[in-house]
Order: sequence, then structure tokens, then C-alpha cells
Amino acid sequence: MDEMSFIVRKETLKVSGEYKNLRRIRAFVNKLTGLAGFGEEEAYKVQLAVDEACSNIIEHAYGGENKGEIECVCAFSEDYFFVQLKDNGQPFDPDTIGYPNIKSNIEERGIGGLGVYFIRQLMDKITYKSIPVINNDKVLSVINELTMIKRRTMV
Amino acid sequence: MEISSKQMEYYDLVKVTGRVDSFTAPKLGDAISSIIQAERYNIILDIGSVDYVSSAGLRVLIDAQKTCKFASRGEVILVSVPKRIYETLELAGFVPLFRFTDNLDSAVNSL
Repeated sequence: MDEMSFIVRKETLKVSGEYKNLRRIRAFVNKLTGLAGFGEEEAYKVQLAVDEACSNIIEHAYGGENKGEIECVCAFSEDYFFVQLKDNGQPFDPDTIGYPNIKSNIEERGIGGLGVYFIRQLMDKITYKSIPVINNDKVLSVINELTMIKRRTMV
Repeated sequence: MEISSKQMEYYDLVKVTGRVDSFTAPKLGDAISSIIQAERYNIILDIGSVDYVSSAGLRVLIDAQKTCKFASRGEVILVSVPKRIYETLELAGFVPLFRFTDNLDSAVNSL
């Protein structure tokens, strides 16, 4: 996948890590998928993936509400739609999360890992990196960056 | 998200509208828990006016279904499930764990 194409539009939203802000983030993402010409079904998928990722940031990276900010960058090129989520919480690499057992009987059904599973299923590619911010040989903080990419299907 | 619930003779009807995400799901969980705490295990959930459900909402549904189905004492039936939400349930592999009906009458008759 060659994502290095020319970005035609880019917008950023920064909110505090609170569940009540999920609604704002979804509205923001919806606006951008609309501008990118996504149909209702594809827009819903991107919205759900971003919502799951932001919920994970609040619950796992920050370990609760009001612990830090979430920056959401949406951008698209001719071929791809990008969503980048940044936080300063505990690194939470989606690759370390196993697949949930979606075939087991009801007693064994857990819900753990479902959010990450959804993100993987709904988006075409995801990458994650955690960058330490170093000043005077001390790690001051980290910037975690989850990038999710969805192909734009041209009608 | 708005919830209204009504206690009937053989079941409880819960009607949900709006969006069920990590912010609103606990409220839905509380509404269902109060029914279960009254030892009532047949819950008909009308989600025809729900336009969004994330995995946080699915967690509430599966927890409720586990509790209600325990010892065959009841079940959660999902009524008027919108297409996008059915697709989300499918993605989670939850479809075989619930009974789905198009309207309230069919749900009541299937109890």
C-alpha cells in the first residue's frame, strides 16, 4: 500500500480524555469522511474504529477519565483516508492484544480485545508507535501515535 | 441516549434511542441491572431507534444475556435491530447468542 500520496485535506481536533467527548470525536470524523465522499456504511466503520480506539486510550492508556488529552488528526489523499490518534498515556500496542474468541459459547464470551479486533476489521491498515520525549537525558513523557488507514473507494 | 422501560406481566420491555458508547453504556447497564435485580429475566430490548453501538454497548448486551440465560430462566431478545448494528453484532460474533425479531409481537410470542 502506497500511502505517500498528496494530502488534499487535513484537520485536527484536541479534546480531554473523557467519554463524553467520544461524541464530539465521532462528529468530527463524520464530517471528514463526508468531505472525503464516504458512503454511510464506510463512514460508520471509520467512526466505530475511531470510537473504539479513543475508548481504549481513555481506559487503558490513561487508566481513566480526565488524565490527559486525545489529539485526533483526520486527513485524506486521493486514495486514502487517515486517522491519527495521539495521547500521552501508557503505551498500548494493539499488536500485543490477542484476538478475542468470537466462536466460543456464551459462558466463555469475554469482551476483552473486542475494540482492537473491531479496529483491525474495520480499517485497512493500522500502525502504532510510542515516542519518548527526551530532555536532558530524561524521558519526560511519551507520545503514542495510532494511525489507521482506510482506502477511499471511488464511485 | 434515552431509555424507557416498562414492566409487563411476563417480560420487561426496554426501549433505547440514540447512541450507545463508552459514555452512555453504563446507563443502559444500570437500567438492565435493576430489572435483573428484581429477578425478572425475560427482557425485550427494542433498539429500532438506536443509531450507534460500540463494543461498550455490546458488553452490556452480552453481560445481560449471560445473566438472563443462566439456568434457562430467561433471555434477552433484540427487536428491530438496525442494519449497521446487526453488522456490528455480526463482527463480534454475537448473532448466534441472541434471538432477533422484527417487531414486539413476534418477540412476545417467542417467549
